[in-house]
Amino acid sequence: MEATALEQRLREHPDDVAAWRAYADALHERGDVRGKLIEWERRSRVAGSAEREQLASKIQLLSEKHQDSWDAELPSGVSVEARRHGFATKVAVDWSDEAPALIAEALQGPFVTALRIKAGDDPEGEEWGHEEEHWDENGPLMPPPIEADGLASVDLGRLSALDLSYFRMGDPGAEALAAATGSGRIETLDLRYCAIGDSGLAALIASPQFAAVRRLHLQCNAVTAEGVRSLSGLTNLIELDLRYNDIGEDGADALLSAPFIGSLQRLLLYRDDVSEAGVQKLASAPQLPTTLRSYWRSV
Amino acid sequence: MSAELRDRFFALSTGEATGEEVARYRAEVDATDTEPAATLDGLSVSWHPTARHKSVRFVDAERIDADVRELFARPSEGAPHLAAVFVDPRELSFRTFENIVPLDHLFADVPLDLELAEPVELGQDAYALSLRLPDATRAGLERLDSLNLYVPPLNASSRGGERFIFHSALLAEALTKAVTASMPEATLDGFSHVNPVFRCNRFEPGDSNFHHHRDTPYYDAARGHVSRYTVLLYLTGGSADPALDLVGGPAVSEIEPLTCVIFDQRYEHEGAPFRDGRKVFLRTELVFSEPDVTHDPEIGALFSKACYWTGESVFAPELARHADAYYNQVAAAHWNGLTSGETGEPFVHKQFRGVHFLANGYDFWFPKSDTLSLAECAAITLLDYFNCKLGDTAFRDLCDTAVVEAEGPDGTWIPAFLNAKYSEKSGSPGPSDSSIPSSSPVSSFDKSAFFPDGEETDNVCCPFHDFGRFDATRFDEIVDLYERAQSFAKAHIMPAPILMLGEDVVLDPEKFVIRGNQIHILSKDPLTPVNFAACWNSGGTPDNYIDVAATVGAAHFLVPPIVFSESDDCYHLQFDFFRNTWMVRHQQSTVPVPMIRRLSEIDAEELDDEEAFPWMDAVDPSLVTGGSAEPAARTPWWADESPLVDELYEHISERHEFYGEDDY
Repeated sequence: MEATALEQRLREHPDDVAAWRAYADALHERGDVRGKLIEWERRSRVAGSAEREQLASKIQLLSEKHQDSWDAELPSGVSVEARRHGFATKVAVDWSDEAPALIAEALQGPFVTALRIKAGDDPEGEEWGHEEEHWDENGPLMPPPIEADGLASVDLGRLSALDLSYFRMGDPGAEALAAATGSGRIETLDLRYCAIGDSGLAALIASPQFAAVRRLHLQCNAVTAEGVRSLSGLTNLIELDLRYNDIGEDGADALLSAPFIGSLQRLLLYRDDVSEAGVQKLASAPQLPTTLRSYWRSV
Repeated sequence: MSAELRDRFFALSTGEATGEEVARYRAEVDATDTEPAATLDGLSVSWHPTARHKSVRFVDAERIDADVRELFARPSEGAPHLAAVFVDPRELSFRTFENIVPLDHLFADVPLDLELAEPVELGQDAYALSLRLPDATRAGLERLDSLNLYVPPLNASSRGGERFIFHSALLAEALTKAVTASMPEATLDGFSHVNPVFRCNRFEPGDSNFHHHRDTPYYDAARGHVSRYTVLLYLTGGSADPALDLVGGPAVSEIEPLTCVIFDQRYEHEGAPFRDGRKVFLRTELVFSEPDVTHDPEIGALFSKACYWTGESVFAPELARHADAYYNQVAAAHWNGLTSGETGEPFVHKQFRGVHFLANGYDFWFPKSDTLSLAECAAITLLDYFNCKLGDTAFRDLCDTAVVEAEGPDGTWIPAFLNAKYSEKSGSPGPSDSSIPSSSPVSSFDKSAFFPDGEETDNVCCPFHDFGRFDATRFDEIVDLYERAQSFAKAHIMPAPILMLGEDVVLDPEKFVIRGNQIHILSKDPLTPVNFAACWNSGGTPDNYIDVAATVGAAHFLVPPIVFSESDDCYHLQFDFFRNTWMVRHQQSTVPVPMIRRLSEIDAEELDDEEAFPWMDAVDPSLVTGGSAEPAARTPWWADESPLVDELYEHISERHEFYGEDDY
């Protein structure tokens, strides 16, 4: 199989041992030492402890020697957050006007399937709280969202994971992201602390780019019961983190009515998020998988 | 009213009350259903009798929570360190049947210069000696009878009189020296020590005899210890025909006070009350080192069954005779090998939340089905054997139970029996035939759900300097403390094979490892150390922000592997827990799972003391062991030392100081 075809195979089946072995041979042929890395890491998984230690040392030395040149394959301004066999699998970009172009280039990396977009410069957020207009009688107001209209021009390509954690894009940013293009393969979507409300969430869920999402992080946003109802479009959902959103008893009801509720494997929420009444409902809901229901009986 | 109920118990226990007074009191107790005041050794305890908590026992008062300790009576003037607690007999398991009272206090200031003199050989391997001791020592021993610690024995149907069990290392040490100095050398080949667990027995004239029996030997295979001789130390003297009868050996009719009779535990024997005067004697054993002692699984099986039937007899009194028969068979088998015992072995058929099983205390049978795994069978059996608490209720109380007699000489009737029971209840052909899926009452659970990672921290300086941006869930010192609190909770939750979530029971499938024909119950997880790292001017302190997300009951077991076999219809599990007695442990702990609560600086400043430290206050002080503050205290066997322990010690001490020990 040609290298390109192998790369596609490995993007779709990252644990295919035979494909990695074949790819290692292809790398050897073109003098890429990452072929050796693949072989050593594979051996390390089945070796005894003494050999494993030796291999770990060799892997470390090889990686230190070549890491910079490997990362230089990516455009400047793109950092690597996770690697496999020396190849970047998750990259990160600080948001700016140039970010969509950087992202497009970074996603050409053969094994890049995960992207993190970080807030980058946020002078308004850094200085928030020092002016009178940042307050009302109830305490500090939320800082305005970071301008992120350019998310609409991002091509999400063949990404399977998109991480916008702590990127305070708000509903405008979420609505822009909903217009992004791609192949709709995203399975893991991290939107924690993004200052997203119900309208932004609804826009995202309605986008075909996110229809395949299985793992969704939404902690610490401004989602209410209405936003929870919009999640019903995610029929493949197995993990959901909704902590620190005031969804109340209505939100618990909305969750229990969602089509994915019977196949959820992980649900993260706190008592204060759903109210005492919500806790009682979750603890006695027959449609909730047994282990999730048991969790609520200890709350 | 409850204090009066408590005090009347002891007043009526003197034996001077009329039948009417006792009946009226019992009716009042039966009408009292208050909540227990504390938990001790896994048992809920009340400070006065209730409809459930009727069985009195004596414990070191210091072990009771300080905030309720003073409610419990100290009925023994001679042992004021002991408090009387009332337990629910349905919660008892083999580890808690016997109340072993700590009494070294009593002997701490008493000179224990004992001598056993003038040994007389009564018969083969049976001796009588005179105990010589100073007056103060004699007074100390005689005081045992006046401590008011007697309770009727569990097997009252086969033994008369009253007794209590106590532990005294000091007395045992003194007797060990005396025995070593006085008994024939040949008899003491391999002698290690006198067992520090003593039974103090009292018989009044007219009480029933303790019928013919053999004493169950003390046995610790791990240490290679086994008892060979029974020691009876008579504190009072008298006569009977006979007062002590060793079957096939000597009989003793006249006993002087402070006579010590030592006889080989092979002897079947019977004791009778004195014709006149009270008979008070201590019983213990001479323990020997026998490295070649081997474990006979069949004897272990009988002993397991005996202990199990003792517990089940609380619910079904007819099982007590089977327990006695097995104890005697075990005692005899220890010396003479196993002989066939009684016919008509009993079984109990139980149903726990839709799961049927059959048990005899050593063998447990479960019908095979698609919804019941081997791990789940093992979990249910552990819950049953140790009678674990689910919420506030003991496991055995949650089962429908019926005693059944064997329907044949071997176990071939059992699969059909269980299949039939399943069909009766569910209306479907049987668990293996049913097309209606049913969920297991003990499902698998992923404990990582309790421990979501802390958030990425931001660069906020502190609540005071960055008030507008302060978010507790991302503040570094709070996230640090959250992760350490998680580490503490993980130390107690992750190793547990079984968790109680409210009244739900869940298991960690990774703690049930099946290898060949054995199910290994793993008991300890290595703890991943949390590496951690202040400009706090206002906004409370980090521990104000750590709240309780959930409260988890964790059941820990230290048991040998469970052997199993399977047929087309059945799983058959066998528990030989007494193969290594010292290894058998069970304990339940209640653990608060931490979370970060979102408070503003002002909210944190305005918290009143009761709500200021929710997670820290929720931690059970008995789990805060180990650490540098208490070097002698041992960390529980299932928990590696948690880095938070020192901080928790400090918190608990400060709360005691602030509130006063009695209020906290």
